[in-house]
Amino acid sequence: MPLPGFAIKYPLFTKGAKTMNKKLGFYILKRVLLALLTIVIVITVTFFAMQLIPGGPFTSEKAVSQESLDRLYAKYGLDKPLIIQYFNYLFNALRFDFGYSIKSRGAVTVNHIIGEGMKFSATIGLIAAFIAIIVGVILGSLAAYKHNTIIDRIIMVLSTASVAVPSFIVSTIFLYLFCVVWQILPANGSDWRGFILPTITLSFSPMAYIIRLTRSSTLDVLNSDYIRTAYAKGASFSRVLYKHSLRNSLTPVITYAGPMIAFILTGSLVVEKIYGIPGIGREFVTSITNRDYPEVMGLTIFLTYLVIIMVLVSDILYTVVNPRVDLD
Amino acid sequence: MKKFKNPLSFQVDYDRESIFKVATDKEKQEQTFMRPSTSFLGDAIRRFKRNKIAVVSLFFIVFILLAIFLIPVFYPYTYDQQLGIQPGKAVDDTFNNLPPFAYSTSEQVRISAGEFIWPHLFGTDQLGRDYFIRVIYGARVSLMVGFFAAIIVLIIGTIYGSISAFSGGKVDMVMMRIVDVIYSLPDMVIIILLSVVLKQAFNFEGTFLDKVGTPLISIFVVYALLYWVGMARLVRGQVLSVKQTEYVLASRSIGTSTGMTIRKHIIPNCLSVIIVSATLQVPSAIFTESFLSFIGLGVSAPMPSLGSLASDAVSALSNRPYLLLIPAIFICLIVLALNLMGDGLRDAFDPKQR
Repeated sequence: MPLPGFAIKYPLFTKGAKTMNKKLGFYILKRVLLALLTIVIVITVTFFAMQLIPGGPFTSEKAVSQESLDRLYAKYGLDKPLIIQYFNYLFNALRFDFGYSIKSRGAVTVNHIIGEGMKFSATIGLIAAFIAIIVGVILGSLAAYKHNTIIDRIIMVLSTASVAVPSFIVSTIFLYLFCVVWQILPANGSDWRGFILPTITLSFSPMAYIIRLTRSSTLDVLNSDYIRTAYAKGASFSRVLYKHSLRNSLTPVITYAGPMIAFILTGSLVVEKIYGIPGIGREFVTSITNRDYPEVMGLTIFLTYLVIIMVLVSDILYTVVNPRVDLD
Repeated sequence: MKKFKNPLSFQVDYDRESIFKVATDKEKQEQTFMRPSTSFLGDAIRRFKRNKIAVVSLFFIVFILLAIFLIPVFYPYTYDQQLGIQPGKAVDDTFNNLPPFAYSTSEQVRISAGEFIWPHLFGTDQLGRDYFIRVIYGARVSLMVGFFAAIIVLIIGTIYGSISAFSGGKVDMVMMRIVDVIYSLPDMVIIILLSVVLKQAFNFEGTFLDKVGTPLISIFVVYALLYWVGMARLVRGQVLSVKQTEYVLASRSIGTSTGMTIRKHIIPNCLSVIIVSATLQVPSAIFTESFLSFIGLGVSAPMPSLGSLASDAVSALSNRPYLLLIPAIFICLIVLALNLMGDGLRDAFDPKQR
């Protein structure tokens, strides 16, 4: 006869674990379906939004004969009825095929442009994310450990203030100080030295957010019972820090990392424009002013893929890491 | 029978008369404290006042609001007036690019003739427009955008969220999935896309909306389409949690009608959360507007906003950096003050903080 209360005490070995896994599987399935739906909606909105703009992509060019215009339309599939165009585009976009860029006269695929842009954007973005996490976690934990001291105050004032400064102002002032007044760094991103300023600029606001996040979660952890127990058992400060507090206080930071990288990549539009970096953000802005439909749509959908996948992965990781989350 | 008493016991001897005596009327009166009962709002205001930073921020915002509405009334120049161009006279170039507190040659002549000329506090821009009034007007446009966007978000989010919370079941599920979809969009990308499209697709010429300007309207449309979802989630969560509290149950069990319960319990308890997050929405809208104006998708030509002023100043950055610094400082201070005030309000209205 099984011991009474066994199932409640050890849910992992009995019925509880199975329901939990089932729930988790159902949750992941639900989230993936939702992500797919979001992508389809974004494709639809982008497609019809581009149709709203008066004037086609060929209107700005010099007088073109009707014959060659027809040929161009046929080449890009613009002669078919709208609904056919839409479904063609939808299925191609879901297969990561965004067609050719119109301004390049059909010589360059949008995928190629994305690849070229991502070389710069991803490098800068990932380094910026790395800096933001490392510096943010260190400063945030420092503020929490030195709670209510002058160090805590200074760190919090700085992080609150840096949230209020728009990135375009940070980058312009940096550009002015480092490249015009002191002349120690080049103004355009031609070699690695040109990437220093944009990287620092990009890491600013996520860093401020991570500082606040780390500080509040570390404060929560430091006030919890198991930390007091650890101290009571005679554990040293560094042991408590590494074994007990850091792991628990970093969970929210880890879950923020995914969306943050996506945020840095999509938020780099203005920074790339100011520093003249040929990344994906600058490409996006120029393609809009050029009315290059396939490129605009391709970049929008690519950035959406990026954001949605990052958010999805970090959400699922969060529920796996943190079993206390209620999946309903 | 006499009770046995241990003289060494430390137990309290209740029989001794000196311990319990009947209170006199005077003593009874002394025990009655009449404290004025505090309302929820009064409590919150008291707690808000204790937060010095938040109060300073509030005063700063009130000061800015007064400044941007009163100064244009008596200020002698307007934001789109090119001072060098006067009817019947040749264009006077000396008005352009004046440093702060400097005067053009024609003005210097008039001053030496004993006339009082209002100083150009921040100088003039490259078209000879007074920069001070342009910054003031820009702050006005930016703040208006912020407040209107927050109101749009407030209205749509509250209605959507409360409908979702009250209907529950399948309706709630479908409505929340829609929110989930919009929530996971990359907002900056969609905002830029939509503002470009709306700017070119809509034409308000001749209508009263023409005055507001198409770019501003497109910002509002973007806000109405994208940013209400956070508010809707918040309102729904709040309504659902208030609905399940003991005091709502208690009020229903003594027979209060549904309408009365909503008015007396659910709305007051959701209101603070809604107002606080609407306050925090204002700086975020100002941020978005200045960002859009900076990349040239914001307000249109003569009308300034803080973002477009900063954007215009970039080309003259090496010669006259203060042209960028002034609007930049304005943006930072306004956003910072609104953020700090919002944080203060949140702490004051949060019942858990008591």
